[in-house]
Amino acid sequence: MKKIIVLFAALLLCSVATAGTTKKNETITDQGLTRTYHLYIPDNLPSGAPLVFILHGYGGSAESYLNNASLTFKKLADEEKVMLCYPQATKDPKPNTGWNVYYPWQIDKMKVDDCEFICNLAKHLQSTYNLSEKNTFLTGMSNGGEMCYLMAYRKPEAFGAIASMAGLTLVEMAKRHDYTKPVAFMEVHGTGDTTSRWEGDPTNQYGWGAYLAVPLAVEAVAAANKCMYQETKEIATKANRIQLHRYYGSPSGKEVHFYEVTNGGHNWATDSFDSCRTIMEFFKKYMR
Amino acid sequence: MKKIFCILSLCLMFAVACEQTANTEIPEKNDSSLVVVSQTIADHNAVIIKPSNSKITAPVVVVVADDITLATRMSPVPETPEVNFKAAEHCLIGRYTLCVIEAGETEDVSYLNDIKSAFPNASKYYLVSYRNGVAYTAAMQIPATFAAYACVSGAIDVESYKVNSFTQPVSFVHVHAKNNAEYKWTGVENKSVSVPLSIGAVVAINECTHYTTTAFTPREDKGRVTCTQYLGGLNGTDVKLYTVDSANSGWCDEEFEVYNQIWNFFKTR
Repeated sequence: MKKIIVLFAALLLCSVATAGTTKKNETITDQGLTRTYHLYIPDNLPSGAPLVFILHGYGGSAESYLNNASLTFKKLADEEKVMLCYPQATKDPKPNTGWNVYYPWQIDKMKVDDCEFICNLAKHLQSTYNLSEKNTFLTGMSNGGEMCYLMAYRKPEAFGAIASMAGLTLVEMAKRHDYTKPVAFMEVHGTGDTTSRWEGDPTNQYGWGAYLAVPLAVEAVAAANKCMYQETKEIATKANRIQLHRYYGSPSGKEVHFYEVTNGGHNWATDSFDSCRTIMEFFKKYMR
Repeated sequence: MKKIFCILSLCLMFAVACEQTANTEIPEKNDSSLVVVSQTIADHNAVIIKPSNSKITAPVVVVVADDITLATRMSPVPETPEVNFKAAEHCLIGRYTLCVIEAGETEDVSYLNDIKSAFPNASKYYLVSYRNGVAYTAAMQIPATFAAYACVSGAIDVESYKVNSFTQPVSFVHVHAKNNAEYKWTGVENKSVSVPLSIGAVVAINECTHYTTTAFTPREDKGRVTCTQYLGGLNGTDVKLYTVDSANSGWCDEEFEVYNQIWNFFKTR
């Protein structure tokens, strides 16, 4: 009898945890590869709902991001009725799971085009789940943040807005691509990040490939948008000081928001503020 | 009086520059006399100041200002206090031609090609815009016309930015006081782009990769000055931003050796 109660309680807990929502693990064939991704589908998701892609970091996994309790995207998705997609990167030549963003060991050796993959996946999901074609958004951390910059270069029209966490613009990206269209963009970056360094790494001293100083990378997007004005304000935080540099006045109306986390490290800065909600609020500004 | 002071400041700018860069090459004063000519070039009022014995290949610095009246330019020498006149004379001996033109903010700066054509034998041409955004507009519209560009207490003009874009790398230096009330650091609605975004647009087109910041020793009781140098630009281009902690909306020459710094930037281009 005791076992039955325990089992019943466990089932009840499980149903509460997933009440009204669906988690799905799906695959799609793209560029000859079977790619996997996880979906988080809130209950009663309306037709034409927005879609948010969340990209994991280098060596990471989509599943770990889906189950990361400190990331509040799932709660926000329930509130805002947004579908979440956590795609899985393939293994690169190292071999580690990673998005192809032109790290030195990826150039000319990693054939997969992850920008095409994400765009193809977006179209597939929009069609399959009757989602909005306009309201598709992208965020990612570290290597996923680098993908945000690369997407801003290559596929700006595919996303309503893009938010990078601790991401970088590699010099190789700037060599190969130009910003061609305005894009609403957000960056959150710690000045104490020792992985993706605030001051950049112009000589590839740290091995990730040469990359721009973070303020220059962000201002390059602002320049592409032809943002005209700026303001800086302090953000209420639980730990590190955070300043929001807001670049606005673009003829396209697309802004660039740059959160400077003083002494912040290589993370989502969730110890300092609700970065996931901040990202979702930024995306909401550009929902059409 | 203010206008006279403006033109004298320009002369002083190059006086300091010459003194710093090539003292040993400057001939005795009695070897030359100053030639000041007021004339119209490409439908723009201009004052050309040069030494009588200057080489035909002397570099030309074009300064675009929007508040110099014809009356001032017609007779700048007699109205000039002795000390400043000497400074002007000193700066011009044998080395540079200064062409100060009057031009308001405009989205079309093709007239600068005509200004340049008035000095067909000059070895180099440089452009300074003072309290306007002409240097930025020129860097967008005619990026190959000048060897380097400078903007002092101005910024990208909003209307110009709507119709022009940066298309190729340029060497650019900007001097600006953080509390400039006319061209505000953060931009002025429908007038001027923020200073960081103005210089940031040049940094972006140059594909600069990183930057360094150097603090100047301030003059007594004057605001701090920092120089941010943006490095790694394409084609060897250089970009510098001098940030002055004051409310100066002019040359910021009270705070630091602005003319010398601009010339030092120019002469390497």
